[in-house]
Amino acid sequence: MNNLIKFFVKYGIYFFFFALELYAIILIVNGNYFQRSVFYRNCNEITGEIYKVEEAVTYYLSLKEVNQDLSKENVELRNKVFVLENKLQSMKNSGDSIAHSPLDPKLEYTCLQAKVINNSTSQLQNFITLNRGTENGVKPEMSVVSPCGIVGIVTACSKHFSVVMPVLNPKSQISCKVKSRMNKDTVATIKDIGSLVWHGGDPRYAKMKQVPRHVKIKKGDSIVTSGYSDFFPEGIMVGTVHDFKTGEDDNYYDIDVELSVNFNNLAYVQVLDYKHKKEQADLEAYARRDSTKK
Amino acid sequence: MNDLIKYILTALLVLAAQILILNNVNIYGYGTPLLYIWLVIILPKEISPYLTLLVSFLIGGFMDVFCSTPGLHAFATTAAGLASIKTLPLFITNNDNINHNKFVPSIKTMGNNKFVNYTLLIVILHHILLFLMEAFSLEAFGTLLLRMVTSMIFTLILIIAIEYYKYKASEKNK
Repeated sequence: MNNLIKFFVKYGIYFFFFALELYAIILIVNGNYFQRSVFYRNCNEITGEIYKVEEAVTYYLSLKEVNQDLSKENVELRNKVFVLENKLQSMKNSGDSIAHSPLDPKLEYTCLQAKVINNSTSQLQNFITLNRGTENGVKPEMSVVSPCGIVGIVTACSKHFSVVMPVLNPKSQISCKVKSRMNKDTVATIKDIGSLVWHGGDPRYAKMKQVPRHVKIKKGDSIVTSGYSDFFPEGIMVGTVHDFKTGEDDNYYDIDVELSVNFNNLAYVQVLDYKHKKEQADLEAYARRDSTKK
Repeated sequence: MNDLIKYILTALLVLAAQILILNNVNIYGYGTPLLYIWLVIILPKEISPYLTLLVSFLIGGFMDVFCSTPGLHAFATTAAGLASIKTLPLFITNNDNINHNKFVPSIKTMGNNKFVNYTLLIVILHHILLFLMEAFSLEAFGTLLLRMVTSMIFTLILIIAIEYYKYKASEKNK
Protein backbone atom coordinates (compact mmCIF):
# COMPACT_ATOMS: atom_id res chain seq x y z
CA MET A 1 0.00 0.00 0.00
CA ASN A 2 2.82 2.27 0.98
CA ASN A 3 4.60 1.48 -2.23
CA LEU A 4 1.48 2.16 -4.21
CA ILE A 5 1.13 5.59 -2.68
CA LYS A 6 4.81 6.25 -3.33
CA PHE A 7 4.30 5.19 -6.93
CA PHE A 8 1.39 7.58 -7.36
CA VAL A 9 3.28 10.42 -5.73
CA LYS A 10 6.31 9.80 -7.92
CA TYR A 11 4.44 9.53 -11.18
CA GLY A 12 1.44 11.62 -10.23
CA ILE A 13 2.51 14.39 -12.56
CA TYR A 14 2.28 11.99 -15.50
CA PHE A 15 -1.17 10.81 -14.44
CA PHE A 16 -2.24 14.41 -14.19
CA PHE A 17 -0.70 15.11 -17.58
CA PHE A 18 -2.48 12.22 -19.24
CA ALA A 19 -5.75 13.15 -17.60
CA LEU A 20 -5.50 16.69 -18.97
CA GLU A 21 -4.45 15.48 -22.42
CA LEU A 22 -7.26 12.95 -22.47
CA TYR A 23 -9.71 15.67 -21.58
CA ALA A 24 -8.26 17.84 -24.36
CA ILE A 25 -8.60 15.00 -26.86
CA ILE A 26 -12.19 14.39 -25.78
CA LEU A 27 -12.84 18.08 -26.31
CA ILE A 28 -11.16 17.98 -29.71
CA VAL A 29 -13.05 14.92 -30.88
CA ASN A 30 -16.41 16.09 -29.59
CA GLY A 31 -16.06 19.73 -30.40
CA ASN A 32 -14.52 19.82 -33.85
CA TYR A 33 -16.57 18.44 -36.63
CA PHE A 34 -13.64 17.52 -38.85
CA GLN A 35 -11.63 15.75 -36.16
CA ARG A 36 -14.75 13.97 -34.98
CA SER A 37 -15.51 12.64 -38.43
CA VAL A 38 -11.95 11.42 -38.88
CA PHE A 39 -11.98 9.84 -35.43
CA TYR A 40 -15.23 7.99 -35.95
CA ARG A 41 -14.29 6.96 -39.45
CA ASN A 42 -11.14 5.29 -38.14
CA CYS A 43 -13.09 3.72 -35.29
CA ASN A 44 -15.59 2.38 -37.78
CA GLU A 45 -12.80 0.88 -39.81
CA ILE A 46 -11.43 -0.90 -36.77
CA THR A 47 -14.79 -2.22 -35.61
CA GLY A 48 -15.58 -3.15 -39.18
CA GLU A 49 -12.44 -5.28 -39.36
CA ILE A 50 -13.35 -6.97 -36.10
CA TYR A 51 -16.86 -7.71 -37.30
CA LYS A 52 -15.45 -9.06 -40.55
CA VAL A 53 -13.34 -11.57 -38.66
CA GLU A 54 -16.29 -12.49 -36.47
CA GLU A 55 -18.50 -12.95 -39.50
CA ALA A 56 -15.88 -15.12 -41.21
CA VAL A 57 -15.87 -17.42 -38.19
CA THR A 58 -19.60 -17.62 -37.54
CA TYR A 59 -20.41 -17.90 -41.23
CA TYR A 60 -19.22 -21.50 -41.28
CA LEU A 61 -21.21 -22.40 -38.21
CA SER A 62 -24.46 -21.39 -39.83
CA LEU A 63 -23.65 -22.85 -43.23
CA LYS A 64 -25.66 -26.01 -42.66
CA GLU A 65 -28.86 -24.16 -41.88
CA VAL A 66 -28.31 -21.84 -44.80
CA ASN A 67 -27.91 -24.82 -47.09
CA GLN A 68 -31.09 -26.42 -45.85
CA ASP A 69 -33.03 -23.24 -46.29
CA LEU A 70 -31.68 -22.74 -49.78
CA SER A 71 -32.48 -26.28 -50.74
CA LYS A 72 -36.04 -25.91 -49.46
CA GLU A 73 -36.40 -22.68 -51.32
CA ASN A 74 -35.11 -24.32 -54.48
CA VAL A 75 -37.76 -26.98 -54.24
CA GLU A 76 -40.49 -24.43 -53.76
CA LEU A 77 -39.25 -22.34 -56.66
CA ARG A 78 -38.99 -25.32 -58.94
CA ASN A 79 -42.52 -26.37 -58.11
CA LYS A 80 -43.67 -22.85 -58.85
CA VAL A 81 -41.83 -22.87 -62.15
CA PHE A 82 -43.58 -26.06 -63.15
CA VAL A 83 -46.98 -24.66 -62.30
CA LEU A 84 -46.31 -21.42 -64.14
CA GLU A 85 -44.91 -23.14 -67.20
CA ASN A 86 -47.96 -25.30 -67.23
CA LYS A 87 -50.23 -22.29 -67.11
CA LEU A 88 -48.24 -20.49 -69.76
CA GLN A 89 -48.36 -23.47 -72.06
CA SER A 90 -52.10 -23.95 -71.66
CA MET A 91 -52.72 -20.26 -72.25
CA LYS A 92 -50.59 -20.25 -75.39
CA ASN A 93 -52.38 -23.28 -76.66
CA SER A 94 -55.85 -22.00 -75.95
CA GLY A 95 -55.16 -19.02 -78.20
CA ASP A 96 -53.90 -21.37 -80.83
CA SER A 97 -55.94 -23.79 -82.90
CA ILE A 98 -56.49 -27.47 -82.33
CA ALA A 99 -52.99 -28.22 -83.52
CA HIS A 100 -51.71 -28.52 -79.96
CA SER A 101 -53.07 -30.39 -77.05
CA PRO A 102 -54.35 -28.03 -74.35
CA LEU A 103 -51.73 -29.20 -71.88
CA ASP A 104 -48.23 -30.34 -72.40
CA PRO A 105 -48.10 -33.50 -70.32
CA LYS A 106 -44.36 -33.19 -70.01
CA LEU A 107 -44.82 -30.19 -67.80
CA GLU A 108 -46.83 -31.93 -65.17
CA TYR A 109 -44.04 -32.31 -62.70
CA THR A 110 -43.82 -31.92 -58.95
CA CYS A 111 -40.73 -31.79 -56.90
CA LEU A 112 -39.43 -33.38 -53.67
CA GLN A 113 -36.45 -32.42 -51.63
CA ALA A 114 -33.88 -35.06 -50.72
CA LYS A 115 -30.43 -35.21 -49.22
CA VAL A 116 -27.60 -37.37 -50.53
CA ILE A 117 -26.48 -39.70 -47.77
CA ASN A 118 -24.19 -41.97 -49.73
CA ASN A 119 -22.35 -41.22 -52.91
CA SER A 120 -19.60 -42.70 -55.02
CA THR A 121 -17.80 -41.32 -58.04
CA SER A 122 -14.71 -43.46 -58.25
CA GLN A 123 -16.26 -46.77 -59.29
CA LEU A 124 -17.42 -47.78 -62.72
CA GLN A 125 -20.97 -48.38 -61.54
CA ASN A 126 -21.69 -45.49 -59.28
CA PHE A 127 -24.80 -45.11 -57.18
CA ILE A 128 -26.22 -42.42 -54.96
CA THR A 129 -28.40 -43.06 -51.92
CA LEU A 130 -31.03 -40.52 -50.88
CA ASN A 131 -32.75 -40.09 -47.53
CA ARG A 132 -36.25 -40.23 -49.02
CA GLY A 133 -38.19 -43.40 -49.82
CA THR A 134 -41.62 -44.61 -50.80
CA GLU A 135 -43.04 -43.14 -47.63
CA ASN A 136 -42.13 -39.71 -48.92
CA GLY A 137 -43.52 -40.44 -52.36
CA VAL A 138 -40.35 -41.43 -54.20
CA LYS A 139 -40.88 -44.16 -56.79
CA PRO A 140 -38.46 -45.86 -59.18
CA GLU A 141 -37.84 -44.20 -62.52
CA MET A 142 -38.27 -40.73 -61.13
CA SER A 143 -35.68 -38.25 -62.25
CA VAL A 144 -33.26 -36.57 -59.86
CA VAL A 145 -31.82 -33.13 -60.44
CA SER A 146 -29.69 -30.76 -58.45
CA PRO A 147 -29.73 -26.96 -58.75
CA CYS A 148 -26.84 -27.22 -61.23
CA GLY A 149 -28.29 -29.85 -63.51
CA ILE A 150 -29.31 -33.45 -63.87
CA VAL A 151 -28.10 -36.11 -61.45
CA GLY A 152 -29.74 -39.36 -62.43
CA ILE A 153 -32.73 -41.66 -62.20
CA VAL A 154 -34.18 -43.44 -59.18
CA THR A 155 -33.68 -47.15 -59.64
CA ALA A 156 -34.79 -48.68 -56.36
CA CYS A 157 -36.73 -47.53 -53.33
CA SER A 158 -37.25 -48.76 -49.82
CA LYS A 159 -39.48 -47.27 -47.19
CA HIS A 160 -37.06 -44.53 -46.18
CA PHE A 161 -34.29 -44.61 -48.76
CA SER A 162 -33.91 -44.64 -52.48
CA VAL A 163 -31.01 -45.44 -54.77
CA VAL A 164 -30.25 -43.26 -57.74
CA MET A 165 -28.33 -44.29 -60.80
CA PRO A 166 -26.41 -41.13 -61.66
CA VAL A 167 -25.07 -40.05 -64.99
CA LEU A 168 -21.81 -41.58 -63.82
CA ASN A 169 -22.98 -45.10 -64.54
CA PRO A 170 -22.52 -46.86 -67.88
CA LYS A 171 -26.08 -48.15 -67.71
CA SER A 172 -27.56 -44.70 -67.67
CA GLN A 173 -28.38 -43.16 -71.01
CA ILE A 174 -29.93 -39.76 -71.14
CA SER A 175 -31.32 -38.23 -74.24
CA CYS A 176 -29.84 -34.79 -74.75
CA LYS A 177 -29.69 -31.98 -77.23
CA VAL A 178 -27.24 -29.22 -77.93
CA LYS A 179 -28.35 -25.73 -77.17
CA SER A 180 -26.13 -23.66 -79.38
CA ARG A 181 -25.52 -20.02 -78.80
CA MET A 182 -25.66 -18.35 -82.19
CA ASN A 183 -24.68 -14.91 -81.07
CA LYS A 184 -24.84 -12.88 -77.94
CA ASP A 185 -28.56 -12.22 -77.88
CA THR A 186 -30.33 -15.19 -79.31
CA VAL A 187 -30.16 -18.69 -77.99
CA ALA A 188 -31.06 -21.01 -80.79
CA THR A 189 -32.04 -24.48 -79.81
CA ILE A 190 -31.03 -27.08 -82.28
CA LYS A 191 -32.94 -30.28 -81.87
CA ASP A 192 -30.05 -32.52 -82.14
CA ILE A 193 -30.50 -35.66 -80.24
CA GLY A 194 -27.81 -37.85 -78.82
CA SER A 195 -27.32 -39.99 -75.79
CA LEU A 196 -25.17 -38.97 -72.91
CA VAL A 197 -23.08 -41.87 -71.66
CA TRP A 198 -20.24 -42.32 -69.24
CA HIS A 199 -17.72 -45.15 -69.37
CA GLY A 200 -15.73 -44.64 -66.24
CA GLY A 201 -12.82 -42.35 -65.68
CA ASP A 202 -13.02 -38.70 -64.78
CA PRO A 203 -16.33 -37.97 -62.99
CA ARG A 204 -16.31 -34.45 -64.40
CA TYR A 205 -16.68 -35.49 -68.03
CA ALA A 206 -19.16 -37.66 -69.93
CA LYS A 207 -19.51 -38.41 -73.64
CA MET A 208 -22.25 -37.72 -76.08
CA LYS A 209 -22.11 -39.98 -79.09
CA GLN A 210 -23.75 -40.10 -82.47
CA VAL A 211 -24.42 -36.42 -82.93
CA PRO A 212 -25.10 -35.71 -86.61
CA ARG A 213 -22.38 -33.81 -88.44
CA HIS A 214 -24.65 -31.21 -89.97
CA VAL A 215 -24.91 -29.36 -86.71
CA LYS A 216 -22.40 -26.70 -85.96
CA ILE A 217 -21.04 -27.13 -82.47
CA LYS A 218 -18.82 -24.77 -80.59
CA LYS A 219 -16.88 -25.33 -77.44
CA GLY A 220 -18.88 -24.02 -74.51
CA ASP A 221 -22.30 -24.79 -76.00
CA SER A 222 -24.83 -26.02 -73.47
CA ILE A 223 -26.12 -29.55 -73.42
CA VAL A 224 -29.65 -29.89 -72.05
CA THR A 225 -32.10 -32.73 -71.71
CA SER A 226 -34.26 -33.27 -74.76
CA GLY A 227 -37.40 -34.29 -72.93
CA TYR A 228 -37.92 -37.26 -75.23
CA SER A 229 -37.36 -39.80 -72.53
CA ASP A 230 -39.95 -40.16 -69.86
CA PHE A 231 -37.60 -39.34 -67.08
CA PHE A 232 -36.52 -35.76 -67.47
CA PRO A 233 -38.43 -32.66 -68.39
CA GLU A 234 -37.09 -30.77 -71.35
CA GLY A 235 -34.32 -28.25 -71.03
CA ILE A 236 -32.61 -29.23 -67.81
CA MET A 237 -28.93 -28.42 -67.82
CA VAL A 238 -26.57 -31.32 -68.33
CA GLY A 239 -23.25 -29.73 -69.08
CA THR A 240 -21.23 -27.87 -71.66
CA VAL A 241 -19.28 -28.96 -74.71
CA HIS A 242 -15.70 -29.39 -73.62
CA ASP A 243 -14.31 -30.85 -76.81
CA PHE A 244 -15.59 -32.63 -79.89
CA LYS A 245 -14.21 -34.75 -82.67
CA THR A 246 -15.47 -36.93 -85.47
CA GLY A 247 -16.10 -40.49 -84.42
CA GLU A 248 -15.18 -43.77 -86.07
CA ASP A 249 -17.46 -43.18 -89.01
CA ASP A 250 -17.24 -39.63 -90.20
CA ASN A 251 -20.93 -38.88 -90.12
CA TYR A 252 -21.12 -38.25 -86.42
CA TYR A 253 -19.51 -36.16 -83.77
CA ASP A 254 -18.33 -37.49 -80.47
CA ILE A 255 -18.66 -34.77 -77.87
CA ASP A 256 -16.86 -34.55 -74.55
CA VAL A 257 -19.34 -33.03 -72.15
CA GLU A 258 -18.20 -31.25 -69.05
CA LEU A 259 -20.95 -32.07 -66.56
CA SER A 260 -22.45 -29.10 -64.80
CA VAL A 261 -23.04 -31.05 -61.61
CA ASN A 262 -20.07 -31.71 -59.41
CA PHE A 263 -20.80 -35.21 -58.22
CA ASN A 264 -18.05 -35.11 -55.65
CA ASN A 265 -19.81 -32.63 -53.39
CA LEU A 266 -23.42 -33.35 -54.12
CA ALA A 267 -25.53 -32.63 -51.02
CA TYR A 268 -29.12 -31.62 -51.74
CA VAL A 269 -31.06 -32.85 -54.74
CA GLN A 270 -34.64 -32.73 -55.95
CA VAL A 271 -36.65 -35.69 -57.08
CA LEU A 272 -39.02 -34.87 -59.93
CA ASP A 273 -42.30 -36.72 -60.12
CA TYR A 274 -43.95 -36.86 -63.53
CA LYS A 275 -47.62 -37.19 -62.72
CA HIS A 276 -48.89 -38.75 -65.93
CA LYS A 277 -46.09 -41.22 -66.33
CA LYS A 278 -48.31 -44.24 -65.84
CA GLU A 279 -50.97 -42.95 -68.19
CA GLN A 280 -48.43 -42.27 -70.89
CA ALA A 281 -46.75 -45.62 -70.46
CA ASP A 282 -50.09 -47.43 -70.54
CA LEU A 283 -51.17 -45.61 -73.65
CA GLU A 284 -47.91 -46.28 -75.44
CA ALA A 285 -48.03 -49.94 -74.49
CA TYR A 286 -51.60 -50.17 -75.68
CA ALA A 287 -50.76 -48.53 -78.99
CA ARG A 288 -47.87 -50.88 -79.54
CA ARG A 289 -49.98 -53.90 -78.74
CA ASP A 290 -52.71 -52.63 -81.00
CA SER A 291 -50.40 -52.10 -83.96
CA THR A 292 -48.85 -55.53 -83.59
CA LYS A 293 -52.33 -57.06 -83.64
CA LYS A 294 -53.15 -55.59 -87.03
CA MET B 1 2.26 37.66 -4.42
CA ASN B 2 3.70 40.45 -6.40
CA ASP B 3 5.08 37.97 -8.90
CA LEU B 4 1.72 36.27 -9.23
CA ILE B 5 -0.09 39.50 -10.07
CA LYS B 6 2.67 40.41 -12.48
CA TYR B 7 2.34 37.04 -14.20
CA ILE B 8 -1.46 37.28 -14.43
CA LEU B 9 -1.23 40.76 -15.93
CA THR B 10 1.41 39.62 -18.42
CA ALA B 11 -0.74 36.62 -19.30
CA LEU B 12 -3.82 38.77 -19.92
CA LEU B 13 -1.81 41.15 -22.04
CA VAL B 14 -0.20 38.41 -24.10
CA LEU B 15 -3.44 36.51 -24.58
CA ALA B 16 -5.21 39.73 -25.63
CA ALA B 17 -2.42 40.48 -28.09
CA GLN B 18 -2.55 36.93 -29.39
CA ILE B 19 -6.31 36.87 -29.85
CA LEU B 20 -6.83 40.42 -31.08
CA ILE B 21 -3.74 40.93 -33.21
CA LEU B 22 -1.53 37.92 -33.81
CA ASN B 23 -4.34 35.53 -34.74
CA ASN B 24 -5.12 37.85 -37.63
CA VAL B 25 -1.53 37.88 -38.79
CA ASN B 26 -1.05 35.35 -41.52
CA ILE B 27 2.40 35.60 -43.00
CA TYR B 28 2.44 34.48 -46.65
CA GLY B 29 -0.78 32.61 -45.95
CA TYR B 30 1.07 30.08 -43.90
CA GLY B 31 2.48 31.28 -40.60
CA THR B 32 0.63 32.60 -37.59
CA PRO B 33 2.89 33.54 -34.67
CA LEU B 34 1.69 31.81 -31.51
CA LEU B 35 3.14 34.05 -28.86
CA TYR B 36 0.99 32.70 -26.05
CA ILE B 37 3.34 29.71 -25.67
CA TRP B 38 5.74 32.23 -24.14
CA LEU B 39 3.47 32.19 -21.05
CA VAL B 40 4.27 28.52 -20.56
CA ILE B 41 7.96 29.14 -21.08
CA ILE B 42 8.21 31.84 -18.43
CA LEU B 43 6.25 29.98 -15.77
CA PRO B 44 8.33 30.29 -12.58
CA LYS B 45 10.00 27.15 -11.41
CA GLU B 46 8.93 27.61 -7.80
CA ILE B 47 5.30 26.59 -8.41
CA SER B 48 4.44 22.90 -8.20
CA PRO B 49 4.49 20.84 -11.41
CA TYR B 50 0.78 20.14 -11.01
CA LEU B 51 0.06 23.84 -11.03
CA THR B 52 2.33 24.29 -14.05
CA LEU B 53 0.39 21.68 -15.98
CA LEU B 54 -2.95 23.13 -14.90
CA VAL B 55 -1.91 26.65 -15.86
CA SER B 56 -0.66 25.41 -19.23
CA PHE B 57 -3.95 23.65 -19.78
CA LEU B 58 -5.90 26.75 -18.81
CA ILE B 59 -3.88 28.98 -21.13
CA GLY B 60 -4.59 26.58 -23.99
CA GLY B 61 -8.22 26.37 -22.98
CA PHE B 62 -8.46 30.16 -22.93
CA MET B 63 -7.11 30.22 -26.49
CA ASP B 64 -9.54 27.51 -27.53
CA VAL B 65 -12.50 29.46 -26.22
CA PHE B 66 -11.58 32.39 -28.42
CA CYS B 67 -10.51 30.41 -31.44
CA SER B 68 -13.54 28.10 -31.11
CA THR B 69 -11.33 25.06 -31.41
CA PRO B 70 -12.19 23.07 -28.27
CA GLY B 71 -9.24 21.16 -26.84
CA LEU B 72 -6.81 21.86 -29.66
CA HIS B 73 -4.57 24.50 -28.05
CA ALA B 74 -5.09 22.95 -24.62
CA PHE B 75 -3.69 19.67 -25.87
CA ALA B 76 -0.52 21.20 -27.29
CA THR B 77 0.03 23.60 -24.41
CA THR B 78 -0.33 20.93 -21.74
CA ALA B 79 2.30 18.85 -23.52
CA ALA B 80 4.53 21.91 -23.69
CA GLY B 81 3.95 22.40 -19.96
CA LEU B 82 5.12 18.91 -19.14
CA ALA B 83 8.12 19.34 -21.42
CA SER B 84 9.05 22.55 -19.65
CA ILE B 85 8.84 20.84 -16.25
CA LYS B 86 10.98 17.92 -17.34
CA THR B 87 13.59 19.72 -19.47
CA LEU B 88 14.14 22.96 -17.61
CA PRO B 89 16.49 21.35 -15.03
CA LEU B 90 18.69 20.19 -17.93
CA PHE B 91 19.31 23.80 -18.96
CA ILE B 92 20.13 25.07 -15.51
CA THR B 93 23.57 24.60 -14.08
CA ASN B 94 24.62 25.46 -10.56
CA ASN B 95 27.11 27.97 -11.90
CA ASP B 96 24.36 30.33 -12.90
CA ASN B 97 23.72 33.04 -10.39
CA ILE B 98 20.27 31.82 -9.61
CA ASN B 99 18.08 31.98 -6.64
CA HIS B 100 16.67 28.50 -7.21
CA ASN B 101 13.45 29.10 -5.41
CA LYS B 102 12.47 32.08 -7.45
CA PHE B 103 13.77 31.04 -10.81
CA VAL B 104 12.03 32.43 -13.89
CA PRO B 105 13.46 31.32 -17.23
CA SER B 106 14.83 34.31 -19.14
CA ILE B 107 17.95 35.44 -20.94
CA LYS B 108 19.10 37.11 -17.77
CA THR B 109 18.87 34.02 -15.60
CA MET B 110 19.90 31.36 -18.10
CA GLY B 111 22.14 33.07 -20.56
CA ASN B 112 21.53 33.59 -24.23
CA ASN B 113 22.26 30.13 -25.65
CA LYS B 114 20.49 28.08 -23.07
CA PHE B 115 17.39 30.19 -23.10
CA VAL B 116 17.14 30.04 -26.91
CA ASN B 117 17.63 26.27 -26.88
CA TYR B 118 15.02 25.82 -24.22
CA THR B 119 12.57 28.05 -26.04
CA LEU B 120 13.26 26.26 -29.31
CA LEU B 121 12.46 22.91 -27.73
CA ILE B 122 9.16 23.99 -26.22
CA VAL B 123 8.05 25.91 -29.31
CA ILE B 124 8.86 23.07 -31.70
CA LEU B 125 7.03 20.55 -29.55
CA HIS B 126 4.04 22.82 -29.13
CA HIS B 127 3.77 23.64 -32.82
CA ILE B 128 4.17 20.05 -34.00
CA LEU B 129 1.43 18.83 -31.68
CA LEU B 130 -0.85 21.74 -32.43
CA PHE B 131 -0.61 21.52 -36.19
CA LEU B 132 -0.80 17.75 -36.26
CA MET B 133 -3.91 17.78 -34.11
CA GLU B 134 -5.40 20.48 -36.26
CA ALA B 135 -4.77 18.60 -39.50
CA PHE B 136 -5.57 15.24 -37.90
CA SER B 137 -4.21 13.46 -40.93
CA LEU B 138 -0.99 13.32 -42.91
CA GLU B 139 -2.57 14.26 -46.21
CA ALA B 140 -0.95 17.34 -47.73
CA PHE B 141 1.95 16.83 -45.38
CA GLY B 142 4.13 19.30 -47.28
CA THR B 143 1.75 22.20 -46.69
CA LEU B 144 1.37 21.17 -43.08
CA LEU B 145 5.13 21.19 -42.60
CA LEU B 146 5.45 24.57 -44.26
CA ARG B 147 2.77 26.10 -42.01
CA MET B 148 4.41 24.53 -38.98
CA VAL B 149 7.87 25.82 -39.78
CA THR B 150 6.80 29.38 -40.71
CA SER B 151 4.75 29.68 -37.55
CA MET B 152 7.64 28.33 -35.49
CA ILE B 153 10.09 30.83 -36.94
CA PHE B 154 7.86 33.83 -36.30
CA THR B 155 6.90 32.66 -32.83
CA LEU B 156 10.58 32.23 -31.96
CA ILE B 157 11.48 35.64 -33.34
CA LEU B 158 8.73 37.27 -31.29
CA ILE B 159 9.62 35.51 -28.05
CA ILE B 160 13.33 36.19 -28.36
CA ALA B 161 12.70 39.81 -29.28
CA ILE B 162 10.54 40.32 -26.20
CA GLU B 163 13.01 38.55 -23.95
CA TYR B 164 15.90 40.54 -25.37
CA TYR B 165 13.99 43.77 -24.82
CA LYS B 166 13.34 42.76 -21.20
CA TYR B 167 16.99 41.88 -20.76
CA LYS B 168 18.15 45.22 -22.13
CA ALA B 169 15.62 47.08 -20.00
CA SER B 170 16.81 45.35 -16.83
CA GLU B 171 20.44 46.13 -17.76
CA LYS B 172 19.56 49.78 -18.11
CA ASN B 173 17.82 49.83 -14.74
CA LYS B 174 21.02 48.70 -13.14
